[in-house]
Amino acid sequence: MDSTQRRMIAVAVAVCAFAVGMAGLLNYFKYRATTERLLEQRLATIGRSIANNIQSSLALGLQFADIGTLPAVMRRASDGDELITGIDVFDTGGLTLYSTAHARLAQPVPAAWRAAIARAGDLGWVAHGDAEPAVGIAVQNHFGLTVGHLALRYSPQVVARASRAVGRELAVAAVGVFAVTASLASLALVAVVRRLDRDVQTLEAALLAADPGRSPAASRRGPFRRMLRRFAATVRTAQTQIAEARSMMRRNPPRDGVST
Amino acid sequence: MIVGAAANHGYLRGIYLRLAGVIMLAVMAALAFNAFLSHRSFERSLAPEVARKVTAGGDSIRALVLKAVAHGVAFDELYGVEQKFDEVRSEMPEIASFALTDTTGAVRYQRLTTPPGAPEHFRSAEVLAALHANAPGPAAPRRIGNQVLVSLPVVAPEGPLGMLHIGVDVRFVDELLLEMTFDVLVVLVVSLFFTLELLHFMAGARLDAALRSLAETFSRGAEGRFATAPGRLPAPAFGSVIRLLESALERVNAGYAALACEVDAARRMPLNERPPGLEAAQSRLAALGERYRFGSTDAVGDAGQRQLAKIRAPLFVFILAEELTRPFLPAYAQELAVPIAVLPTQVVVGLPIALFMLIVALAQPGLGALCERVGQRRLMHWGAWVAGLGFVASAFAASVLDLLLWRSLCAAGYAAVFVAAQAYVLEHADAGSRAKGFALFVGAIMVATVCGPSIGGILADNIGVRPTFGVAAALALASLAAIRQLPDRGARAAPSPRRPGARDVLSLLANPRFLAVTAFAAVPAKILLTGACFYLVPLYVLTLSGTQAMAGRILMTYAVVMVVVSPLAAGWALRRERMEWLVGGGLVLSGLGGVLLLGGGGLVWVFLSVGVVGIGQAMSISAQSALVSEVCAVEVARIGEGPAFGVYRLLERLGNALGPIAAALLAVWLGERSAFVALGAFVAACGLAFVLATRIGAVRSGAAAAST
Repeated sequence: MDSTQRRMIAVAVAVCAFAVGMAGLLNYFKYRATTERLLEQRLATIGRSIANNIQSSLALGLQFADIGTLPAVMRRASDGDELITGIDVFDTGGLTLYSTAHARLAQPVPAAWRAAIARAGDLGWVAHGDAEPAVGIAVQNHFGLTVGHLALRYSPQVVARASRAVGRELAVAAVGVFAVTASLASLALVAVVRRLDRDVQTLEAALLAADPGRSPAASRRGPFRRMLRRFAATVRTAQTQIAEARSMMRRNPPRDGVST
Repeated sequence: MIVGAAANHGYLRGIYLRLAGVIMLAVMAALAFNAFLSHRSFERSLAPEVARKVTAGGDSIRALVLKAVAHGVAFDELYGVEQKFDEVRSEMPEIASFALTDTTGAVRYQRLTTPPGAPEHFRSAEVLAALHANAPGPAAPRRIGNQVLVSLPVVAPEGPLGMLHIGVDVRFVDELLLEMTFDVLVVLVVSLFFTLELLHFMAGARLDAALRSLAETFSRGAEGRFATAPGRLPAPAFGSVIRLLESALERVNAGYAALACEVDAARRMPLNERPPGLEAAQSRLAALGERYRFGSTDAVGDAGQRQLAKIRAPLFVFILAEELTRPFLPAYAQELAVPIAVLPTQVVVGLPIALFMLIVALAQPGLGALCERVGQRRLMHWGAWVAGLGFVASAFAASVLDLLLWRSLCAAGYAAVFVAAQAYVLEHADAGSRAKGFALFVGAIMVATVCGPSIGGILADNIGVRPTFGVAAALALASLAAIRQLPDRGARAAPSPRRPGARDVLSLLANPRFLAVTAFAAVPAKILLTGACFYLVPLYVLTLSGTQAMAGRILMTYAVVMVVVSPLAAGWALRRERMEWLVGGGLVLSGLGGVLLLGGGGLVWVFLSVGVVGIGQAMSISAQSALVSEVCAVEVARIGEGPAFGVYRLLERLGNALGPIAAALLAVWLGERSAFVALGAFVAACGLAFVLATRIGAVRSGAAAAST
């Protein structure tokens, strides 16, 4: 049964690897998604305070393209959080009006941002497709009309770094759990297979006995006992009848004929 | 032999249950332990992220306080701080408490309940030192009770004013892990099926063969069949025991042979020298020969059975590859949709599924002929390669147009593997084991339908749809390794079986009972399966802001219900009348499953609906094939079972192709939920029509029989 034991261990290892691997994968992606969500919410909160600032300026009658204090507010917000790589404010046509990066001024925003805005409508949006992802919110005036958008660009490396570190931690934990449970499962499976071995050994002992059908210790145990008894009874009867026929040949026939 | 087989079945089932139980316990322990370790990691790594996030919210409170103080309002007399707390909390529901303390740590403004021990923490030297250190950022977050407290110094140009403390409930990590409960349960269910499949693949077939061989030897001995079979090889698992049993049988056989030789030798002796009891011995020898079987016999190997079992692994792995795509294919097609002539977008989205089903239906007769020419193994090999290529190309599809082309490759590969596997079962199963062979075939497909969509949905949600196509390609190509283990018979020398011609088709269609089974039962059942389950459910679940994993779970529910109910229904469908009631009742029930969505449109309703559809389909489909044999007895006798079933299967599969298009057209008109309801109502109506047709037929037959 060595081969069967090896196969059982392979089954235990494969199933534990699948279950722990899938659970590890789920944990990792859950962590990554949660971290991304937390970062996006954090950026959205910062963005909202800037948007409130813009809204206050618009309420005072300033033009959207002519808010003098806005660049300083944006710079402060950008410097206050290491995650933020830059902040842009652009009109509904996608033209950048304010930016913490001078080179971006008067430039059109990336197509991925416009696509994200089109999907989100007046809600907050997130653009992942670009090399530099961004979290954005619509800037509305006091009448609820969207006059432009604000985008906070962030570094994907920060998210990746955090995910990598936790990913390693989760992977180490998963490998440990896999090693322990696969070993335990293998041992338990081997124990189950040994029971099958014992059943076979019981049967073997009964067969090795001079008369298996009459070997009480061996044939009264195990799952094969009924089949073994029927087998032994028929074999014993046939052997007895053959022996009787042989001895019959050597002795005188009985007067009242042959009985079978 | 029957008693032996039954005992074996019970014994083998007992071993299976123990083995599967042990593995399941280990898997559950692994998942629980893994969840515990992940919880610790999550708590440690996410707490700082949450702290940074609430700091961003806290900044707006701090700015408001500083602005008010700058305008001359005393720190103790601020108005509207609690309202600002509420405003921030509406954006960050994980916040459990707010407290604004003065420079001594005394609470001035508070919202919600701070944890026990918080007042002491606010007044602690560590916190007050952070305030006077004049650092702009928050102090390091501290866990107090069941909250993580983030403390932000509020410092005006004139000096420190106080500290803003925001408490975050640490149970947010528990909630994150709870959100994964469904996925972990899916992993557990799929692990159970994988376990059973692997047990069968790696050990079950051997154990089964060994136990069968043991039972056969026991039966031979118990029934007195002592004839030996030269060259019989015992199964390795019970080799020593079987050899012992065989030697006991051989001893009896040899004893009989020796007795026969002795009797024969004695008969050749002169009369006066013959032993006195020769006649009695001769008569006993004859009696023994009548009662038992001696001599030699042909070895009856179980090689065919072992070869038959080999088909399960490649078939399972290959079908699993296709099933992975079920929960996300419609959404993927929707993402890649481009305007095509006058076709509405919904129809364009349904085209990849419809075309796949159409190719599978139409390619099968031709592939059957090709299989005879090139052999099953080679055709399976080609099929797996072609499908693998199709999956890889589907992962890189740029629009729905090229997706159609790549899915056609997948369909051709699927049809090839399906036809070759079916031919393999037919070739390696004799009349007695054919049912078992097909149970093996259907079992592999059913287990793949349980495991595939659920895992595919989870993968699509986490790693993305395109990489999941890559996983499907890897599985299709991995099946090649198992296909290589199949025996290569090459081309078949035997004449090819008769194919259905136009006259056969017409004669079958002229049979009103056959027409009732196909038009009212088989085709509508398939329309509901592909239209509602494969097309509408994944799209509808996404609109409910569900996920592809959710769509996968729902499709898994359907498959699990089928796996559980089908054998029960098949066991009940023994008489024609019962078959008809099962088919009709099943259709009505599955239709009502669709109508159930009228009760509500939430995910729970979709689960319930698909579950009821599954029960109905299991009842109906199990009995449909058996019913075809019954109602087409005359045609089967004339043209053969193969052609009759060929026509039936072709029509049934055309229903598969029709389903997504019908569902898409209904969705254009009514929307996805109502389209599901409409399809359900249509199938329920078909079920009623089937019941009526069969009852009227039965009454007419009864009347005709009575009049004759």
